[in-house]
Amino acid sequence: MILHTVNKSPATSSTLKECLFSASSGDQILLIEDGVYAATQAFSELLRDDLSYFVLQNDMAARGLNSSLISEQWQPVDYQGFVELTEKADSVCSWF
Amino acid sequence: MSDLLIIFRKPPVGTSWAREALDLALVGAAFGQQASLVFMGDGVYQLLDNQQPDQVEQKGTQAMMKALPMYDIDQIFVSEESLSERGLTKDQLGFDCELIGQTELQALLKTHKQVFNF
Amino acid sequence: MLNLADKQIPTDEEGYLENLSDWQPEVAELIAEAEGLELTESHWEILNLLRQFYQEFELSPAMRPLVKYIGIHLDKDKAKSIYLMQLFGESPAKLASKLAGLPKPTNCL
Repeated sequence: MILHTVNKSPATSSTLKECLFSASSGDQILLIEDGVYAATQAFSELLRDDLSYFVLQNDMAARGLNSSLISEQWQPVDYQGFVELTEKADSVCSWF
Repeated sequence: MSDLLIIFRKPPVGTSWAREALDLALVGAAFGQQASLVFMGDGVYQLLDNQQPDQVEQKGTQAMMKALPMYDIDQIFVSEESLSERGLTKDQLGFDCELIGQTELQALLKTHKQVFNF
Repeated sequence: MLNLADKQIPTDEEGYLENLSDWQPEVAELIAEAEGLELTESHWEILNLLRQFYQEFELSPAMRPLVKYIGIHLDKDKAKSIYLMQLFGESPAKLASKLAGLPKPTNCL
């Protein structure tokens, strides 16, 4: 399983799209930095249903994104959660 | 199977991403680490022929790309979907590479322990 | 800094030329002298080929690609790292690049 991190807003960059295109079934996606905007409702249609989705809480909070703004597929994690995801993954691939 | 997978996703001019990614491939090769290269997204624009980056006072990557065979790097792939999204076909490219679809791309990521995204 | 006749040629701290256009054969002789090396025809054959490599690919080659390039353009017997080491010592790619007025190969230590 690969952990993919994405740090660009989906509205200005095709980074998320390219990541989702390249991920294999069962892989995990983690949004960080401006990538967290992808967790909002407007972009939920981009998502595939064979991947798991995480979003870094600190980067959400920093941008005023609370849980009411993000769609239900996304599970917030803190830095500790980020580390744990990294440990569980066979490899980490960062999309920027 | 090669040791490194390097993904080229940025256009050739304006930033140094393309050159950095190629440098990584060449450094790897100089140390006996075989690299495979994948061009996708705007990275496919790196493969267009007749680029003249000197027109905007920059250095491109085309000359460096030609050096790849000298470094025994011959696993060079381009995403079919990225090309067609941009209205391009393989024969419009200035560089010989292998077309791959989504499944093959996913398999490449899966089978490489070290994936570098540029 | 190298002093060639009445001209000063800037180099970096390792002795590589700052401006590739400053290079001329006399510059190579000057660097060779400082490195305790006497340039023979065999050296020049490699240096000229290195400059050709740089013109073609816009980069200074590491050892392996240099050897491969030699194999394509010169006698096969010369396409060996031992041959280059006999000519240029322990780090042939680095020293030869310096003599040929090219940047230090970034892809070799």
